[in-house]
Parts: sequence; structure tokens; C-alpha cells
Amino acid sequence: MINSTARRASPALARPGRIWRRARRASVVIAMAGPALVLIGLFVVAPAGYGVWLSFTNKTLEGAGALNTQFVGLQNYRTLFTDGGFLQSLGMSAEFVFFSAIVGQFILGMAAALLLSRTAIRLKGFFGAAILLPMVVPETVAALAWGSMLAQGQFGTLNRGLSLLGLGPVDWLQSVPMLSIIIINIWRGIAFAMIMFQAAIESIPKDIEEAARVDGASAWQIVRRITLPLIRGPIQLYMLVSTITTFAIFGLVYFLTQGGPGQATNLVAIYIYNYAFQFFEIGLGSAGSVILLLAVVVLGAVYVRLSRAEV
Amino acid sequence: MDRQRRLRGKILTVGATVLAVLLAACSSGSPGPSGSVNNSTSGNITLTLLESQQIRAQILQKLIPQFETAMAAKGQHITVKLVKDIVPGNNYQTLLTEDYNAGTAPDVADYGITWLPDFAAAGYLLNLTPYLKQWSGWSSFYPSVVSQSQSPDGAIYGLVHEASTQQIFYRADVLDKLGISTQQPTSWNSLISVLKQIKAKTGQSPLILPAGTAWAAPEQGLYNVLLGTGSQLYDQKTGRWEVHSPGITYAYNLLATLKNDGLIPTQDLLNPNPWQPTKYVAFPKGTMPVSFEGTWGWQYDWGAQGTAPISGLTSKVKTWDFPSETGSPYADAIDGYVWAVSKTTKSPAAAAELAEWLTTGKALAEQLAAVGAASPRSGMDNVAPYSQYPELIQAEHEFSSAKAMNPESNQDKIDQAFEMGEEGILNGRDTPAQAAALFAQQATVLLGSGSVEG
Repeated sequence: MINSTARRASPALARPGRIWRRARRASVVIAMAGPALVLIGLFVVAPAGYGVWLSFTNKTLEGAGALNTQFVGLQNYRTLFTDGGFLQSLGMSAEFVFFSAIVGQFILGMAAALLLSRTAIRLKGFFGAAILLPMVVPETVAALAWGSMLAQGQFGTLNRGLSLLGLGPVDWLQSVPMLSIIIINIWRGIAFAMIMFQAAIESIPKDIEEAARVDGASAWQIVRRITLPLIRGPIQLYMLVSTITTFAIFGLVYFLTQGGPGQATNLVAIYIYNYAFQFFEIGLGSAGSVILLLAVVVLGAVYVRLSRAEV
Repeated sequence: MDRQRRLRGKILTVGATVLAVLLAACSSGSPGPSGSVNNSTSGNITLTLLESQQIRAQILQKLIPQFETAMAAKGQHITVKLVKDIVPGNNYQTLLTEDYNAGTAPDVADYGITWLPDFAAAGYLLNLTPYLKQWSGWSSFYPSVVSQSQSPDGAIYGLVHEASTQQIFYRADVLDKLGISTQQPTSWNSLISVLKQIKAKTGQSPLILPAGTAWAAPEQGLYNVLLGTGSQLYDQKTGRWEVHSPGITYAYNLLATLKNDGLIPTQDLLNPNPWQPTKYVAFPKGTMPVSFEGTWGWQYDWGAQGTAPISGLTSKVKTWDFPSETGSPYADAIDGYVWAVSKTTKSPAAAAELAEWLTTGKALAEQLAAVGAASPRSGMDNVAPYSQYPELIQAEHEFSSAKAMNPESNQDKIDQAFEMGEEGILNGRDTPAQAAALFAQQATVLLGSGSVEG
């Protein structure tokens, strides 16, 4: 019979207990994280891996090629990089992301957050709800609403407004298609930026701002010297998330312009969709998706690196 | 020890539950609306029939019970389940392709013949040749119709149930009012002259010409011009696309001329749904009084039950054949829609029988009259309600003299490349020569250099 004191004292005897505790902890971790890991593996990692594999094949769903899928190495990537259309689409997507997410949504979202975080403002709830509304509207509804708003001729809402000022109608989606979709995406994304920034701003202790005000700092100086540096983390997180999601935008633009007129709004997501689901060239479409994924991963890494950097 | 055992038990329970849920999720997939069911033990057969257009689906809804009754009279218990996927053409093609690829396609589907070569080549379709050879009705199909639906190996994978001719439709009432001759233009220059006269009097672009990536239907537009040049897009002998065909530059030149002279509604053509303000608004109003159009215009577009009805249609609207540089105007015969049977069907004979029944007698006549199509087979002139539409019968009689461009595998890719060339001209970016070069380059990218002639 071994008493408990002896069992605690002997390392040889203590080891099974430690092993058991570790095993128990590990099994709890597996039980808690396991289902999520299985689901992520099944629905995220495996399809992504399959997509990467497909990008090295000539997989198609139509024609004789559908009967004979072959490994083609980097052929799809070569095709895409020598096709001016793909590079042009990537460039358009970068322009769309920069002006709508990084510039437009950031500036207006920050302005809305700064205004709404002031306690003195009237009808705060109303303005907050109004800014939030575009985010909760389904993508198709938003596209239809803007389609009606920017419709050509005298029936478009915006053109009716212009006619009241004695101005002629403008074919918005034809004459300034990229600018139009950038504005629409800014409208849709302000709410997300505002929520993130407002939460961050409200977490800043009030006495810091009070002290600055006592020292004679102007409102702009407070924003520039105190607020923005203190919410640098949320800003960078916003940049990361909005860049990734804006690169992936498809429905809003497709419903409005289908990538046109001409190829004027043929963002990379629409380009990939056309290859994969209009021509059923799954291999080429997958290669385009992998390139987009890599571009987003690189941008994400840059943001993460920047967020770690010292000011 | 008890706690440990209980914990182990909980872990096992959670694990087993997760596994069970995942297995259930994997295995509980229902056959889906487009899957086929064959209750062979009871001797009954259930077929699924897919339709994507409301007007066609309405007719089928009415015809299906008649088919079931006719089969019951023959001792065959066939039930047909109509699956309606009422979606635009491109989306329908995407859905159908995915269904075929996944092996969940309906037994019988209805779609345009241009998709047939690619679906057949991909091995998705049942070879109907043995069934059609045993069918007495097959001999009455027009040879030009049969040749368009034939694969390179001579097999038939789709039973054509509608055919059309493409022509130039014009508002005779409008031209008469403007005092402009409605005589058949014999050359493109003479047509341009007529169009310029219309524009001079109305101030508007008079010609609706399907072109560009938004309309995405070159078979309704410039391919008709190409046909008259003697050039071909596809070389049957080599099995390659002729991407440098002189007819392409000719067609692009014509498009550029029409655009530069303001004879086509360029801005509308660059917009999404370009047919809406043109074919469905301006032509019925008479403000764009000339349009490239198919036989379906008589019913589907402008008929009493059509999308944009024109009252007194047959007295107001007349047709010209396409002008030709050789001075012999021509119509373009195209097969419209086909019944195709999935290779995965469990009841191939019954599916073929359904397709044949729907392409026979009164059932066929009702469909032709509803959508406005010409009969693909002879002997229908006196079958009502088709017999009440002389304009459709006239289109049918054009088949013998009409030119035709057979759809080929990869047709959608060559069409896309062609549309991109058109788009370059429409948005003013490219000259006809540059558009032709862009077409050749895009076709090579999409098809691979092995499928195009250098």
C-alpha cells in the first residue's frame, strides 16, 4: 500500500498523474475545438486545397475536355499573366479597393464615428441607424436600389434631381462606371468602419482628452495627436478586413454593371466568375482565385507587420 | 477515477455526436428537384423535365397530362414532373452544366441548340440516334435542321423541336409614314442608305443590332453578316476555328460604320439588358423601326402574349432578308430549341418517347404557336394552332434556301471573343482591324492555340 505522501514525493509515481492531467487537458481542448476544426477543415481548408489543385489542371465542365482532366503545371498561371484582361482586372480591383475601402469608407466612417461619439450630439440614434442601414440591406436589394437611382434617362432618381436644377440626364453607370461603383461601395461600407472606430474611440479614457483640452489643444489636434494614435490597432484591423472583403466583392458590382460597360468595371472577382461559370474553365478560374488569394495574403501580412511596428 | 471515466464518456459522446451529424449531413442529400426517380418495382416511371422559360413551361404544364394519358393508353405508366428553373439564359446554362457535371441533371431538358455540342462532347447526353431511327416521325425533319443538330460523328444528341429564321424586321407602318421605300435592300450599302434616311427624318438611331458583351448573342447579330461573305468561322475539315477569317473584319467594319454614322443605339448596347430599351420599348413605339430578329419576334417578343406586344403586328411589321455583297439576299436558318436526354437517366426509352411525343402533331403545334417558332419538320402546315400563323409557316418555308451556321463545340467561347471585339468598336477603343486582332487573341486564350488556325 502506497500512501499519498509517498506518491507525491516519488517522481516516478507522479509521472502517470501528470500524463493523465495533460491527456485530460488535451482531450478537453480537442472536444472544444474539434468540431470547429473539422468544419473548417471540411468547408474551408479542403475546398481551398482542392482549388489549388484544380489550378494546376485543365479542368473544364464543357466540351471534350470535360472527359479528360489533366495536370498542366503552371500553364493556367502563364495564360493569366499573359492575358492583359486579367492584369487589367487586378488593377481595377486595386483601384476599387483603394478608393472605396481604404480612402472613402475610412474617412467617412471615421468622421461618422467621431461625430457620433460626442455625447452632446442630438438625434444620435437616428443618425447611427441611418448610417447602419446600408450594411443590413441585402446586396441584391442595394444593387437594385442603386440601379434605379442611377438609371439612365429621365427616370433615374438622380437624374430627376438634376432636372430640377435644370441639368440634363447623365448615364452614370456608362459615363462614370468605376466612380459610380466606388461611391456605392463607400455608401455600403461606412457602417462597418463607423462601428469599429466608434467602439475604439469610446474605449479611450475621457480624462486624456480633458487634459489635452485644458492644455489648449484644438479639436483637430486632439483627433490627430490622441484619438488616432490610440485607436491605431482597430484602424489596422479595419484596413485588413475591409481590404480582404472589398477584393472579394462580386454581387454588388455584377448586378449593377456585369463588369461593363466594355470591361470598365471588370473586377477580378467578376473576371474569375466569367472564366469559371460562364466558360466553365474551372482550372483557369481556380488559378485566378489562387492569385487573388495570394495577393490578399500578402496584403494581410503587410498590415500585420505594420501593426506590430513601433510608431 | 469516476470523474475521469465520466469525462472520457462525455468526450466520446461529443465525438460520436459530431461524427453522426457530419455523416447525416453527407448522406441525407435529397435527390433534388432535378434528379430522376425510377420506381421500377411498381412498373411506374417518373421522368423529370426541365424548362427555363415561363411561356414554354405554361404550355408544358398543359401538355404533360395529355402525354401521361397517351402513354397510359399504351399500357405505359409514365409520370412527368415539370421542373421550372425560370432564370436568364446564362444562369440557366450555369445551373444545367453544374447539374450535368454532378450527375443530378433532369431526364429531359429544353435549351438552345448552341449548347448541345459542348454538352454532347462532355459525355452528358444520351445518344438519341437509335431511338430516332425507330421513330416514324424522324423522316419528316428537314435535312438542314437535322444537320445542325448532328455531332461530328453523325450522332443526334438533341431533338430539335423549334426552328427559326433570322431576318431584318422593320416597321412598315413607320417607314410608310416617313415616305421611305420598303423595297428589299440588296447590299449593306443600300440598307445603310435606308437607315440614314430614317435617321435624317427621326433624328434617332434606327437599327437594333444585337452586338457587344451585354447582349451576348452574335448569332442574332453580326454572324448573319459573316454568313453572306462566304467566310466561315469553323473549318469542319481541320476541326479548328478560323479566327483570322476575312469575314470577321468585314463584319466589324460594318459595325464600325453603323456606329460612326449613329445608326445603332451604341449607348444602349453597352448597358446591361440592352434589349429592354430597344427591342422591348423603341421598336414597339416605332422610334427604332428596324431590327435584326428571329422568327420568335412574331410571338415571344411582340405577339399578343409576348413581352412587348404590338397591336396589329403582322400588318405593321414586315421582314427583309439580309443583304449580301453578291446581290442575293438571304435568310439565316437556325435551329432553336432541342429536347436533350441526360445520359444518367434511368429510363432512356421513356425519356426519348417523351421528347418524340412533344415534337409531334398538336403538342408541337401548340408550342410553336406559343413561342413563335417555325416547325423543324414538314407536315405541320395544317395542324392548329400553328396553322393560324402564316408568318411562322413562311419562315419554315425559307429553310430550303436559307444559309446556316452550324453550332460547334466551344461555340460560347468563340462567341465571347467575338463579342469582345464588338465591344471594342462600340466603346470607341478599337478600329475594326484592332477588334479583329483582339478577337483572334481572345479566342486563342479561351480555346488554346491547338483549337484555332494560326
